[in-house]
Amino acid sequence: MQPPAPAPCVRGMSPRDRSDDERFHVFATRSTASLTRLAYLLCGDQHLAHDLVQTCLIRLYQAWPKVRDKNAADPYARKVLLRCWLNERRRPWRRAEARDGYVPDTPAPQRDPAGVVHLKEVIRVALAKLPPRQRAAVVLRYWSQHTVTETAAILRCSEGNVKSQSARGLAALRTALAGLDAEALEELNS
Amino acid sequence: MTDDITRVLAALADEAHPAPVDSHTVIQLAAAHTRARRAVYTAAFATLVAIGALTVAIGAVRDPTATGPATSTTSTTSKTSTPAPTTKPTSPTSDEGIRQPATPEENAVRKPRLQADIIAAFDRILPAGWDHSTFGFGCDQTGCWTDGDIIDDIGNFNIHVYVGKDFGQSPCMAPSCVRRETLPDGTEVSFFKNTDDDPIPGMEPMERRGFSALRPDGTDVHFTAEWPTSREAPAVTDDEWIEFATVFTY
Repeated sequence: MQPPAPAPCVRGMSPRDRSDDERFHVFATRSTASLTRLAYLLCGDQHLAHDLVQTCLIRLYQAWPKVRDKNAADPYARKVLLRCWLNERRRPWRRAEARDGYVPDTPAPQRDPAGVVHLKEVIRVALAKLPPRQRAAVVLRYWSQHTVTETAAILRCSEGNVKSQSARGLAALRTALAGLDAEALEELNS
Repeated sequence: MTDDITRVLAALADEAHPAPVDSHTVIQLAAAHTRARRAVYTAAFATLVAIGALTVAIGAVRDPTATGPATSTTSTTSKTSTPAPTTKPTSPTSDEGIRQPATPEENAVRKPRLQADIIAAFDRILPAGWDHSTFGFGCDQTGCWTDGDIIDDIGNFNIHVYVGKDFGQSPCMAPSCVRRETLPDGTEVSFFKNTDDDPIPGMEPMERRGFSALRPDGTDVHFTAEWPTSREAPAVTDDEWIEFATVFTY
């Protein structure tokens, strides 16, 4: 019978079980895509989304030995990602940065026969105009399909607050979509 | 009702390409973050400890009486000295450590005590058989004083004493200041002796022995013995005069 392998120690961190690292590798491989989508919806920028996902995984790894429940890992990761984004938004240079929303290499809406590109651009701009917590509430409720209770837990606020925030965000998105070509929406739905 | 919003958001989310994240790199970065955080905490703790030590050191320097009585390095006196008082002054002091003026009630207690102190010192220090005045003290808000005569085998000579506190002591810088020393109990003494070289017309020239002393508790004493130059000096040595420096506690 072989003696148990000593716990590996990452320099600078407390010793942790080898299975912890294996679980983390598996989780990171599996969840990176979904976390990137969520980060992109929150921030609207591919590069910032990648940075957020990496920061999220770093924070997650530091607390990883405490995350024993497989089912709890995904919601916890989304919560960490959201905190990372809100922290990022609070930084002074992020507040000072103003995007004009015009990307030169984006196809002009009137030249997009299907109108889908225009639709995405409209929803991206509408999302960008929402306040951070309102935007988070909309994404968590209507894209991640979290319940009001789960969203309130992630945002660390009351359920009533989640309802009001998501209702306002939803109204803003509907207003933005109201003037769009019905064919584009049909195509998207199909 | 919200399906259309969900579809639009999903379409937008599909634009995002998965982040090229290497989990091994993430682990290394997490370890680096942890090391950096610990380094910051350690530096902050060390800074706090250094500031605390500095504060204590500065406090000790500002309050030299807290470090214990000073030791004598230059004293040449041979007779016993009265131990330095260890009690705090009876008069109140303000929060800033500035002494408040003495009250009449305090002075009513202080005057007979100082008188008893000087009479006891005469009996102990001066040769037997000498007589002296009553040396009753007068006091105001800042200090007490007395004047009187001592009668020895030759005649009489005058003693003047002033006792105060917390108003400092001018160091004796004059050529007549012949000795400066620290007594075993920490009392600092500047002893002087002089003679009227240029007396006022019509007045007899005088010879003087005396000292200014600062005791560890802040009591400052000014003592002068004087007699006419025409008479012989009293049979009291300089060291015996200096013994009076430890007699008084304001």
